[in-house]
Amino acid sequence: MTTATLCPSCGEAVAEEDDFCESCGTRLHAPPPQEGTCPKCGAPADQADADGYCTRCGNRLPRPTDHIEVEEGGMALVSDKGLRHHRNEDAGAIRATEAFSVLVVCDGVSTTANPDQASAAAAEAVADAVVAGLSGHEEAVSVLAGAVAAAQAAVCNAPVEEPGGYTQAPSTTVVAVVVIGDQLVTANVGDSRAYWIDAASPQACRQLSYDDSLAEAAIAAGATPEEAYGRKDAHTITHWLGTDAPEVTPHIEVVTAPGPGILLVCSDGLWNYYEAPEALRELVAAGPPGEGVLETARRLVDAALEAGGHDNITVAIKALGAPTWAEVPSAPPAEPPSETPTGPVEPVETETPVETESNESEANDHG
Amino acid sequence: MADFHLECFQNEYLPEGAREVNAVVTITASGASAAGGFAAGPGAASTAGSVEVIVVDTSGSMGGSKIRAAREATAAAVAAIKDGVRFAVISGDNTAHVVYPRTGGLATSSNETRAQAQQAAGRLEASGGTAIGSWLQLITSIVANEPGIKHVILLTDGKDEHESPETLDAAIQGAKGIFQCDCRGVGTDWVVSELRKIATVLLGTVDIVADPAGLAADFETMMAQAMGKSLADVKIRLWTPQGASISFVKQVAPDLLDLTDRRVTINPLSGDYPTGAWGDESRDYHFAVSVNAGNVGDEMLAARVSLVVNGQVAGQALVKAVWTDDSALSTKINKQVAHYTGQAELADAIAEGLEARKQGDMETATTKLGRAVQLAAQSGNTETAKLLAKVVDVEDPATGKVRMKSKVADEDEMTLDTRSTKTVRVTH
Repeated sequence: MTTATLCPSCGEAVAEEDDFCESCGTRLHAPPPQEGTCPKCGAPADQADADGYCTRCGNRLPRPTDHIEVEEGGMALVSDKGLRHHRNEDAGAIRATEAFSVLVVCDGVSTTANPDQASAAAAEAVADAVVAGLSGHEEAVSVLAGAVAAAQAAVCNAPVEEPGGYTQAPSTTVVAVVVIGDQLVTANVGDSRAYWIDAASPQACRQLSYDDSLAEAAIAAGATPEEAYGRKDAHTITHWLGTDAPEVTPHIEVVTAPGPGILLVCSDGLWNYYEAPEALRELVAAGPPGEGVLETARRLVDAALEAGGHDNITVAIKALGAPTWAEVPSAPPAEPPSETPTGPVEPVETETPVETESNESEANDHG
Repeated sequence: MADFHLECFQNEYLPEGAREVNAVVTITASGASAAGGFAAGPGAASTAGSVEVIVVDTSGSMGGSKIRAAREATAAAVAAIKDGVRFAVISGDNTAHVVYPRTGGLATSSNETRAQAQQAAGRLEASGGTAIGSWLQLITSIVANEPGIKHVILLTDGKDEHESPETLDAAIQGAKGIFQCDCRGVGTDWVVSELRKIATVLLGTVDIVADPAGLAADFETMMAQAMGKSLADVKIRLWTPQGASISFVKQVAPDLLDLTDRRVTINPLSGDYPTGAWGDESRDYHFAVSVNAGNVGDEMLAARVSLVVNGQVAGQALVKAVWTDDSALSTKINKQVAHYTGQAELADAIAEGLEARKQGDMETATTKLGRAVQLAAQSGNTETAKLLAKVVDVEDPATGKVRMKSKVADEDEMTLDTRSTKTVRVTH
């Protein structure tokens, strides 16, 4: 007696002992995709044609940019194309010298031509300009502003035509953070974000970048965050890099890390699922003790994938002051806000936290 | 050296669950003209190695002005044959016979042989019936073993009435892949569908020359075009992924030619489609392929279009499929694909409208021809629009509102029928 089995892909009847559907070539008893095989049909990847497609099922074989992991100088960068996009239009760069580090994340605007090339060009341009400028001991703020201008120029050189794609000029967001000691200098255009994730206190966590989005514009005009983020076009960005950008003036923020923690730079592929700094802190803190930055970055990307992975996800991380993530009671909502900046709940490190003005106001905002 | 450039036009973005992938590929050949003598690429057939046959209907109905025009036209075409080309002139009625060279077979073109051939053409006389299949059979037997491009000009004025349709079909099939055949009908007593059948299978053109006075110029043009082609045996090789099926493969410019059934299997995933001989020219092809639906985020190569010249791949285009949940991308209409879908619908509407008119179903005829008027206007196909206006009174081309003319000249109806497959390209 034979049992009828149907191909999960095309619905044709297949024999139990068949490895592949005779009708459509889908692998039947699919083992987990192996390195060097077509993830769709299992054909050896050496069967890929010169254009990167499987010569059997036509599936696009993974591109190098589909998943990127880089670790350098106490920093990690992980970028993934996610589950619903056919290519990774995010890009990132991390660079370290003895004196400083720079972390860059760019998110190519999907509704423009060649956004993947726009973001890659911008990320490289920013990192290069920062390394070149800061090595000459110039002021970080002006170097970053110059780096964003260099990125704008690079994006304008991206090819403007993409067959079958969008016709708007190639565009991207950019967020870059220069770390010099405990000083964090952030520049951003668009809605890719930088966060300070404080090891000691959820209340000391904060967003360092400022979104150029319709939601933020609505909030600035007086709407409540609920109203603003309830808009259908809340995530529409109002500034970007590209030839048709209305103006390219980055938001620049200078803060001093209050203590041990993690600098997190990411695209909206992550923060669409974990928006609040406190939520991101919980995610970071959930890792095993002594977890390295690369593992943390991977875990954050995986969390976004598990949450749906609707967009490309890019996470760049730098640890400051050897943070440990001992159990911290999550911010008790009932507790009235403190007038003074919230100090470390558990003194895990003896370093003196240095609070900035903006940190104070941020802490107050949360009250 | 002949050079082929392939350019693909499509919207590769598909919504979740979609399977049908459409693309228009423009193929442009340069350096393939025989004008430069033997300059064509290695392996290319120069005109010196090609074959030209002119077959003239000499049935009784050709008597009078038609046979005089045919003699003149044959002489004009012969004059345009380049030195070194192997050629023959054939007279066709109930049977076919070679009138030049007298020994049968083929002559080699020179001043002397062309003059002799023109004299022989001047002696063509009209008598007997029409059995086109027998003409094709004779040509096949003469040219089958000849190398290079083999091109035939066929002229008739009447219905193929002295043999069975099966005999004609068998003769067409026998000639398939052996030679290309451009067909011309003179006057209005021939049958468009018969000549179209021949021209379609034998990768040629079909046209009406209603006034015999226009024949010589038409023959001369046809021969000149044939002399401009230097690449024989050009094929489109289509690779599609496992599980895909091919909905159709059509040449869509300069005219419509359905190649779907012409596939010659190369391996389970690849097949070749013949395109005949090429000179310096540009043609458009429409491919429709049904693939296994991917998941959102998947990208697939839905087809690889290669141009194979003398067994070598001379150019490629990739047809892709990308599944997305971004409806702004997946709902975009590709201009070329939409345009040629419209041109194919235009040809169908004319064919169906004229057929309905013949059957006396004026309601259907009005609807179909009205739709044709609308499509011709929308796509800028002014030649077809002009031909339609001789068959229907156009009240509003934008909406396709037409009235059937009470009286339509046979010539006008046949011209519309014959030229309904002429397309125009997308105006940029």
